[in-house]
Amino acid sequence: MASGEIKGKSEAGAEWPALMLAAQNGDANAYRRLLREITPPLRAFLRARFFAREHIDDIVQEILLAIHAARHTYRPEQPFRNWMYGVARHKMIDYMRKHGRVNANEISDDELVTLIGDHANTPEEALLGKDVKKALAQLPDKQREVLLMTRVEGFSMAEVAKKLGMTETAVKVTAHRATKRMKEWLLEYGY
Amino acid sequence: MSTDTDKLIESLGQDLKPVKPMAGAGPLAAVLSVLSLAAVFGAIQLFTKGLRPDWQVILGDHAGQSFGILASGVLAGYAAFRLCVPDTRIRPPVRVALIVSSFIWVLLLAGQMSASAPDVAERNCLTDFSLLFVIPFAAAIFMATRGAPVWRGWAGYAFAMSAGSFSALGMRFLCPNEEPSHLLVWHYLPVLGFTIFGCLLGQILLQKTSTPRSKK
Repeated sequence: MASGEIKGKSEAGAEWPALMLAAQNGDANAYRRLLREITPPLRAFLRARFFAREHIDDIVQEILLAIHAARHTYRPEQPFRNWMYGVARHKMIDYMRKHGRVNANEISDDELVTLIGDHANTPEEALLGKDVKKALAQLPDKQREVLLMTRVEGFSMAEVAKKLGMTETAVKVTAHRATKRMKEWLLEYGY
Repeated sequence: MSTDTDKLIESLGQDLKPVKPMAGAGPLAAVLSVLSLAAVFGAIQLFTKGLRPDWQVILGDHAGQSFGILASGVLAGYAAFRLCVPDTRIRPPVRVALIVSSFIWVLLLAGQMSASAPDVAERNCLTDFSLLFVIPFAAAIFMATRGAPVWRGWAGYAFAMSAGSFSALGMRFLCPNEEPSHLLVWHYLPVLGFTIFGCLLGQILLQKTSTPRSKK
């Protein structure tokens, strides 16, 4: 399929399977578009798992390289998201194994495995998983809203500040407190 | 998106070549089964004393057992190739194939459990079993290099179970000893051992996989 046949921004990844099939046929434009479109959800996928910002780019690049190497294994009868997040989860765990605990505030390998054990396919599913949902529920409304907007939906601090009518500093402080409280809660309940 | 990621996407786009999509798990399992059977019976003819004189009983009196072993090999091969495609979880068809192929072996092992102690003089059966196992397992791992398994341990388990099943089937045509204790210890338990070995080996051997094959 030529890239010219696939026009416009795909709605929530609806065109990703077609773009991948075009890429398998050597359509570089379709491939670049696919990779650009899947990068933000991959970043959100990693952010939802509490990765520090400075590591997210590295892992996303590892995932893109793995997707490139494994692109011939995608088959149209399989949901593209399952295939993509299968590669992403695998590379994420590989990265964690290689680099160990990335920083003191991050979840360890075992904790990570527990968190991803819900087999969620999207960051939203991951955060709305049974146990994480409980952790979210104990946060004050404002902290929960800020956490979801910054960690899951991928808004910048400035964008969140504008949307919620807060100062950027207040958003940063709220996000920091929410993250800290979430981790404390998860640790308290055995994560 | 960072500049580095943008550059990477550009360079991946520039390097893009058409690739031949990997075949489905069904056809690949069929190819592996045919190759494995050919390798096992070829090895019997070339490297051992040949088929047992009364080999027809395996297709007659023991047809059910032989079919079970064959089915286990094919199903395990199917599961293994399904596991060579990245996915977020092990899907129900793969689980069913793994459970059924393992269950066949549980039944076969349980069926021989009541037997008396085996004759230790039959040790050469283990050598023969290992000989028959090597080529199908190597062929399976070679075929798996086209895939990108993310559940490597399970893929190794399934490939070893497939190769082990075909080897055990070959052993039934090779060794005339029908003592349940002999079958249990020298023909069936090695499948279990090689499967555990395959599970561990899969973690290592299947790391360097996913080699796209150009269309031209």
